[in-house]
Amino acid sequence: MKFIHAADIHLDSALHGLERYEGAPVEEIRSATRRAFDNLIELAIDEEVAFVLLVGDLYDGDWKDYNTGLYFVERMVRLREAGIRVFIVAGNHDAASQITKHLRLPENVTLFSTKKPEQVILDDLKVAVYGQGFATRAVTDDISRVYPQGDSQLFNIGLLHTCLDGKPGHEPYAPCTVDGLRSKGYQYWALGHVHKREEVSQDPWIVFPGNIQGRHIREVGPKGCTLVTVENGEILEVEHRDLDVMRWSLCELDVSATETVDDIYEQVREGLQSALDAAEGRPVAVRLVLQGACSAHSKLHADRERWIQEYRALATGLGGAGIWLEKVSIKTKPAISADEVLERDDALSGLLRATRDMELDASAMDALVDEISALRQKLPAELLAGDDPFDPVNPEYLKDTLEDIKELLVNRLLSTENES
Amino acid sequence: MKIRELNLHAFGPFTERKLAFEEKGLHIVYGPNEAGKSSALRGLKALLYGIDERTLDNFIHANDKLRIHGYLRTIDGHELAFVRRKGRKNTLVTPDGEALDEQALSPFLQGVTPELFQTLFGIDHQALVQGGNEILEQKGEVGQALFSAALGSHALHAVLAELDDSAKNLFLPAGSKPLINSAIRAHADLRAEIRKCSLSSREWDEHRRALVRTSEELEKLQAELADNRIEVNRLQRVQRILPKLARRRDLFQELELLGDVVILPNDFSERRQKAVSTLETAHAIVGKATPRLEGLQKQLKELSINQGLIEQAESIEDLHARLGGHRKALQDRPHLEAESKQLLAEAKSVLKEVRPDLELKDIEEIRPVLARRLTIAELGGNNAVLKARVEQAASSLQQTEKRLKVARKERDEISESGSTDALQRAIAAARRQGELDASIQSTQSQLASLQAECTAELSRLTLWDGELEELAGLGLPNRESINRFEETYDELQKRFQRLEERKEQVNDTLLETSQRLDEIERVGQVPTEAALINARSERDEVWQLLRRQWVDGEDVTAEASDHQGEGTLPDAFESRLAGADDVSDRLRREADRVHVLASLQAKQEAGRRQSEVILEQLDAITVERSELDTSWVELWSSCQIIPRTPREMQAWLNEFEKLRDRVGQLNLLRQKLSEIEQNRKSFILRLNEQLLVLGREGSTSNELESVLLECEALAQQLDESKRKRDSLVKEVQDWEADAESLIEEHRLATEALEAWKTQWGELMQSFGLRIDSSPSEADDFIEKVRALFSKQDDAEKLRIRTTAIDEDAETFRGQVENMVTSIAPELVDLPADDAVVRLNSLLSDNRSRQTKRQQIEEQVEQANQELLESTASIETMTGRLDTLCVEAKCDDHSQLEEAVRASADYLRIKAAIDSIEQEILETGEGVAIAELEAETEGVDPDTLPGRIKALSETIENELEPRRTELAEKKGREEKELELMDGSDHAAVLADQAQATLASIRSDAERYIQMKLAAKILRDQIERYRKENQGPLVKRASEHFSALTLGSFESLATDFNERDEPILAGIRSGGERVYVEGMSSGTRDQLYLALRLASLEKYMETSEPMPFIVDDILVDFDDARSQAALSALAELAEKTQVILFTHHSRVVEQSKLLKGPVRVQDL
Repeated sequence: MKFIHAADIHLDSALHGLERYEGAPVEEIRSATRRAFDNLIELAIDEEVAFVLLVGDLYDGDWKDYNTGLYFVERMVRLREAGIRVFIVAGNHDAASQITKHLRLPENVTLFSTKKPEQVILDDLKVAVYGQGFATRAVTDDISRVYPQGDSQLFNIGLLHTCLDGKPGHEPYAPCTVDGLRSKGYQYWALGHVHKREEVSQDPWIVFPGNIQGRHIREVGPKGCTLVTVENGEILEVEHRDLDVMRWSLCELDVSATETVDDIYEQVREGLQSALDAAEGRPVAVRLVLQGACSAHSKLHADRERWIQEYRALATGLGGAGIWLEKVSIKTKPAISADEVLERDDALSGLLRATRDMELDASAMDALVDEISALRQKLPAELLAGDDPFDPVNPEYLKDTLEDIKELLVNRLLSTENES
Repeated sequence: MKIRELNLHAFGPFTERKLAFEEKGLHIVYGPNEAGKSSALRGLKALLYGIDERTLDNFIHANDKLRIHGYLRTIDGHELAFVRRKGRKNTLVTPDGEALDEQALSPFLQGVTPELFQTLFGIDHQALVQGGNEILEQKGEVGQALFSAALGSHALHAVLAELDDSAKNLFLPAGSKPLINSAIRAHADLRAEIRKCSLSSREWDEHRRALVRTSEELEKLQAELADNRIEVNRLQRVQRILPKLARRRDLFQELELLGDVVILPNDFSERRQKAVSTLETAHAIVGKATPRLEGLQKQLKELSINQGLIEQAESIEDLHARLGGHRKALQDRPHLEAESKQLLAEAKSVLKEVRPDLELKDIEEIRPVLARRLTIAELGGNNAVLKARVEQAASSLQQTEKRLKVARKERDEISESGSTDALQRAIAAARRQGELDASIQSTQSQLASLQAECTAELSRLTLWDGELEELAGLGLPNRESINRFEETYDELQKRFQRLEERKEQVNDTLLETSQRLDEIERVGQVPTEAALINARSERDEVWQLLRRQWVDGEDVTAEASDHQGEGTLPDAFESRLAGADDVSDRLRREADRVHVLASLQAKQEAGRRQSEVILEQLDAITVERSELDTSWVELWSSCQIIPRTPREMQAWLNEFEKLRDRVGQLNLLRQKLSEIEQNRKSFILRLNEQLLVLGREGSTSNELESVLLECEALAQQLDESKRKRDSLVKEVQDWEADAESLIEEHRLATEALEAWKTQWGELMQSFGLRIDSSPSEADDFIEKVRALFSKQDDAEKLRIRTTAIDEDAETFRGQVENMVTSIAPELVDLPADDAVVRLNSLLSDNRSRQTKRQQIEEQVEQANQELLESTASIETMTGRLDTLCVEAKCDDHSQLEEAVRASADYLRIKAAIDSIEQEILETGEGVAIAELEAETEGVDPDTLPGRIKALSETIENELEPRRTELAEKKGREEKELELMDGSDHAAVLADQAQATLASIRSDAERYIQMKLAAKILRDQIERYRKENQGPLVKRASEHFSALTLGSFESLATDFNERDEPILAGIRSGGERVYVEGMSSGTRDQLYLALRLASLEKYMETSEPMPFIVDDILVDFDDARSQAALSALAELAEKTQVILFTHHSRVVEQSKLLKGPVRVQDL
């Protein structure tokens, strides 16, 4: 017998941070979450699994398009035609979702109660499946405590959407402990909620499969589901299977060994190529981070736009399934310390000192904030809030910006070319 | 920082070009066009900041050879000599070639970046002009002008404008076009679009419910509609059926009136009519046939016929047919007889020609000739062929023999020669050796030039006079010894130098110490401990005297006389007491001076001692060095060389070894040459031997090539004649074979001709001809014999025909006579042919009578038959009518007609009933007639149309529109639900919205950068102005006045309409001139004034940097140029100023400057 364990599908949730530009692989990553889910359906049919476990967060909480639900039902029907059962517990997102409340699921799908743990016994397979879904967005009790004890005659599987004992970056919902889960006498705990795959324990198996498709730069690397093979009540194999149709990759390059911008360009090419290779034929969204002290620091910062364009063109030229350069983050430092300059007393060092001191000077920062408050007022609320908020008046952000501004001013003022 | 020396060791057009900037004052580097001024400037910058990776200054020295040496010094005396090379890393090295960290330069550069160095500490003509323009662009705004000058930047205004523009293009608080504004709008649009195309679950549920409800309503309505339609139909049926039922009833009444009727079969009427008409016809026929029969019997009796004639008809007709032939044959007979006679006469005459010895009757004797006609023709034809064959053979033989003779003659003319194989092998072997001659020649010339070089080098070699041959054997000291000496010398020298330096330092210290001692002493005597002790002891001495005198009452006059100068003893004591106190006080009061003096003295003492020690050490070194000199000279004495310094000797040794190597090469080359020459000789020998073998004389040449050419020519010649002879021998053989076969052919042909002649003669003889008759004669003979026989045969044929004619005529006449005698005796007397004509005419007459008789007999037969048939028909028809009467239950034939009519009426009414019932069934839509009767029972036909109309109107105006409406509604709901197909449209839009957010974010980041950069820059400009405006403008004012030669008295600040401070030049009359009103030259000078003032300010607080000026005086007239030079010279008192120029005028003018000037040419 085989079964698939997946979680955190977040159907139709949008990919974040991908600014469109000429040459970006727009079509290649269209409807990524759906296509990843299609891959799951296909895998279930190809592997002839007995059932599929979906452990929470089918939908994004604030996503209201019922079409998403209809799409989901259609795929469930496909599984029904292949004789595959589906067990679902609602996650925190599903609890908030309007779609969940109205959807009529085909009879091969079991949606566990949100009020108390339920048990479903599959006599032909000698399997018992236990589960309870989220009734509200925030479940802060350890609901695993009230799960029934496992039946020693059966292969017991527990479905639970949980943060376990707390995972950074994830809401602390339905907390529980490994020992608590172990005490239930189940053979497999199918968990959901944490987007990064983790085999928490192998006796019994406690697994977070991770989500099936990365949606932003904090969800890097391969994404998919866990395929479990059971024979005579024993787990033979637990393997991860990729489902994602595009990949996210953080390409952090230490450029301190370089001398020129050309050297960096070469290093970027290598970095991007290896990100592309690692995606195994999928398109990949890459965040490029350049760091380290280097001689080209000033040129990089002063002409940031140009380099972003260059690297984008480079990414486009690499071919393959395509690279989407999500962001180019230039965090380099100058190769030679500017301390001596700051000690001098002339117009330039005055400018540099003022920029440096501004970070520490609240009133100066306030003056800067005044300059950009008009922009802030107009920015869409979504940009200011969310997982990766962008607040232009955030002092940390302004501090980072000052470094660029400094290089930009120095370079432009001292430029001997382009005198127009 | 100051550049002490710039040495363009290998850079651009320069090799080891040193520029020294050690001295004070203005430095001018003068180089006319093409002298490399720009390269030198680049070199200077490259020295400090590295050589550009893509430098163009590598056109003489390769990249890896580029070197710039420099020697820098900071204001506090820190110095550094170093070399800059080109490369990617570690481009800084010490003069000894060791790597030097780039950081080593930082104390000199003080964080001045290459860009800053270029802008702030460098100025060229273009920068000057741009600076002047920049002031105009800034409209004289003080802050910007000062800031620009302080940075040396001439892009400040443009940078500000660019920042502002970029920000504006990205975002405007109240705009809509800038990128961010439009992206924000696009994002809002996308959100709205997502909401619009998002399907809410409630919406979906509503549509689903509405569909179910509508479907149910529709179903109900459709049922009602159907019921109504059925009722309308029923009423319409009743309306249609009522008249038909009435008609049916009428028909049944009619049928009743007919009473009992015998239903007759359909064909009854036809049968009756046919019987009646047939009967009538038969009676008519019997009436006509009887009289016709009587007439015919009478005609028969009147016709008579000769039967015998008819019986012999065939024979008569045969005779009549033969009659023509009979008559013709009798007519032809005399012609045939004459022709036969003629032919026989002709045959006789032919025979006389060919065989006069024979009679016509005997000619069968020669008939065999005709049988052998073909043999003769064939044999005759062979004759010509055989003759031609003999002739052909004879002529070919003659030609072949002629050619054979020629070939033999040519063959004999060419003599046989010997084989060239050995020669060829020798040539090939020699060729394989390559160009021995050339190689000898080139080796010789190499040898000569090497020899010359060696001799020249030997003559250049100093210190040693010997021959080249002696070089190899010369025993020189080894390198290690020399190195050892060199090191020892160096070490001695270093020690010596250190001591010298120490000595100098000590001397300096001593000098300084004594100067200071001198100074201190000049200020006044410095009290010393010794002086105090002295004063005290002097005081005590007087006190002892006093005490002795006063306490002990001793006379001390004698001793006191010593102090007489001081007055009485007490006076003396007092004065000495005061003196000691004074010394003590001063010691205390002037403790510092005392201390200084003491330390100076101590220092002086120590210095002197040090100086002595140093001098001793120096002497020791001098001794050591002279010992070293001696052993150095000794080292070289064995080879009679008086050595120079070890370093020079190293170089000398290098030269010497180089020469020794060359001499070695020379010997090798000689040896090689002799080997090659030997080799060549042996090959020439071998070739000459081969020539002798072939009977030629050996070559006298010493060069292999000419011998080879001679041999190759010979070998080629010999090969050629051999090839020619071989081909001739072959030709002779071929001709001989041809001639032999031709002789044989001639013999065979002649034999064949003879055999023919014999055969021919025999044949001729057998015909009775001459044996030598020609074939054509034989042909002629045969032709004539053939004619003879043909004529005789023709004559015979004619004779047989006449005999046959006579016999036929006799037979004809006999047959006619017999015929006439038996059947027509009246014609016996007529000649046979007339009798036949008459017989024939009688026959045709009898035949026509017989035909007529037969026709009448047939008509009689027919009339009898008609009578018989009609009588039978009358009988049959009467019987039939009787039967019909029985069938129709009639008593008489006459009642039949009436019975037929009654039956027909009955059937017609019955059919009408059937038809109306059929109609009722059809119109009644299949409902049984009884049910219809029941249904229409009591229905009032007049109410029907009203009821139908009312119902139809309900259907039409009420039910049908409602049904349509419901069906449409259902369709709409179905379509709505169909559109809710789980599409990802909204999700795709959400992705787009996220993409837009990402764009907004990155644009916003750019906007913030631009906006803040502009703000910070403006703030800084203002701050700089506030802090520096007063002194800077004042100083610039002085420069400006000087640079404009007093055309402007000063520079002042004023305010523009926006109350911003702006610059104004003040004329001597007090007139204010703003930058817009200044000439471009004046603005340039204003910019220069501001730059100079800024530089001066910079140097007040920071390490000065050299100011590099590149030909800025181009556009200045002489006076202003002079003024600018003065200003630069003035600046040169505070910092290093290096002016590069192409113009000799500048050099000339510099001579008039007050301060020190140093001019260097490139």
